[in-house]
Amino acid sequence: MASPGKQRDFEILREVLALAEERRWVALADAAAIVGVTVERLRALLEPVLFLEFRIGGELIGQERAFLLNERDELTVDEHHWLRDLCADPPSPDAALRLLIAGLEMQALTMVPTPDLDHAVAKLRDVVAAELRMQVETPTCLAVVQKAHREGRSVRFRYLKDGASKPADREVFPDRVFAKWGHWYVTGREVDGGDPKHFRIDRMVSAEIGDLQFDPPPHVDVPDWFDLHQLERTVRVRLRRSSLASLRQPLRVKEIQDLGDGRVEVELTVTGDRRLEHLLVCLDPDTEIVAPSEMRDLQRQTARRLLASNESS
Amino acid sequence: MSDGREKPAERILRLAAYANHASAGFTLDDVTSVPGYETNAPRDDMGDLASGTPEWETLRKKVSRDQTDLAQAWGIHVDYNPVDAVYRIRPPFFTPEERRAIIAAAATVDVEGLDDGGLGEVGSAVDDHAAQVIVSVHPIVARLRDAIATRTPVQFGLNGRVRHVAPWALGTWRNRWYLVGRDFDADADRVFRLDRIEANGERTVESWGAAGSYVIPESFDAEAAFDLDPNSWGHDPCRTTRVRVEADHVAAFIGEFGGIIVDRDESSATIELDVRHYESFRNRILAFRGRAIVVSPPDMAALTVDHLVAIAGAE
Repeated sequence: MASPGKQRDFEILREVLALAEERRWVALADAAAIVGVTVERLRALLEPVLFLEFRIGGELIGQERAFLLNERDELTVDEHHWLRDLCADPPSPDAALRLLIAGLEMQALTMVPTPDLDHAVAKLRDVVAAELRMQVETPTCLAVVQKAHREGRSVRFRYLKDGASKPADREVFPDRVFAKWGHWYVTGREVDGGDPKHFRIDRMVSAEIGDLQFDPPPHVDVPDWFDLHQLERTVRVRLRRSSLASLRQPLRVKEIQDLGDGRVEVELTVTGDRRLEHLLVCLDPDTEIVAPSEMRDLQRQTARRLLASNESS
Repeated sequence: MSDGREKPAERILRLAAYANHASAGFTLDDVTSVPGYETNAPRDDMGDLASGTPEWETLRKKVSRDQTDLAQAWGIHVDYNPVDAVYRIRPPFFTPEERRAIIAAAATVDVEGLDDGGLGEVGSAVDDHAAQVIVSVHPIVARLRDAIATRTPVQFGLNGRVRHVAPWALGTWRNRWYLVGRDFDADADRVFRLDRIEANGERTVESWGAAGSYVIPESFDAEAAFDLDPNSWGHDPCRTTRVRVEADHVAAFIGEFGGIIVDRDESSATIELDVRHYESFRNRILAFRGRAIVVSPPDMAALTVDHLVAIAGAE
């Protein structure tokens, strides 16, 4: 077993060379800070890697061109990370699971053949040793929005807000395109001004590249969470337990008590008035609305309105 | 660049470079030509390194230690085969191209909620600020993966009861994590939503039996198991149903239900789909707030209307 000092030296090298490969380059000062050593200590540790060269008889063996530390003290993988090229160990099961999920998502998003990724994913499946199925959403307007973002062009789209009956026309500078919580979003300002907004791409009825050009900002944060707390609506009901499974998500269920007759008393929480109305009309007629009492009227009014629209169509 | 003193790290890296260069294999004698492994061990009449001498043994141990260090620090395995007394480097796990592809995936997809194995593991050093996709993994996924990989039954709390399950597969559907497996208590195959699993207010999964104590049936179809659309698994008699959907809502409708467009004009499309779970179908149709109307067969159209009448009229 390696001595603690030697082991730590190799660990530092492993980490710093990984940073150089996976970020394309890393400033020596940044790398030193990340691994917790001084720049001079890191420079000394890197020396054998950067200048590895020796002769066997007349033959020169070396990897001195694999990595490069340039005059700006930036470390790059110049040719190849030969040490990783030789690594025969699989990733740890947890790391393999993380990579497998990333690989499966990437496969679903890529429109061209990816034989290297496919082989890597197959190997990771063996390490994970557990069947894993990922459902990946790829809305029809995604490619257009991504292209607009890449090319620094506005994107025009018809947007159907949650619960809205008619779509509205929008044109947005797409600052960032991302997927989170199972949905794709574009973050951007509308071309006529205002604060940046987030639009769900699966709610776009149609989209096309716009005429306006812009410079996407270098960094746009993905929100940690959309705070919809103020929009939450809760109703307490008594219903058959089996009916809970048929209620449409997203929905938060808090069980209050088992009524012992196959029914439960629960608090159901949804976000927004439209989802509340939908929840109320989905309840079975024999469901007892406990509180608030005005929800019963809202349930009836919503049902009558939907009946009227059914009849008119 | 040497200051004259032997640096073990440099020597070990030379051994790796040499092993890679001599990919067909090399002997202990060959190693003596690599700087850092020189020896004054006796040689035989042919000039070959004589085995069994103290100097030979010292060299052999040095190479053995360095083999171990290479394996532990870099995952580079130089195996010794005593049959032909040759050292050979083991093939890599990922080819360089595969590694690049999976690093690119890790840079694009930020997977939250799993141990990344520490900086140095493949894909752990990417700049995830630029990730396009953020995937949240439920906290008990790693624990269940272990259980599936080792075929270890588990127990967990769900809806106030303890379930005993042989876990078969993990997956996502509509942004939620699910487990599919054999529920011993129900004596049936079941799907469990992971965010509903809890015990004493905590999300916990415990082993319930020994590793290797069950097999996953060969007939298990993971793709079908994770098709969690109620119209796929529902037990109501299958009815082929036509729904007229306003043009602006067609994409959302197909995203929700699937189905095929059988007729279309400027204002609407008629979509045909198989329905196997009437209650769920009715609830999902109602989410379209009158923009999707069931047109046939009559009993399926009545499903929604009768329900609304009952709700609207009930006191």
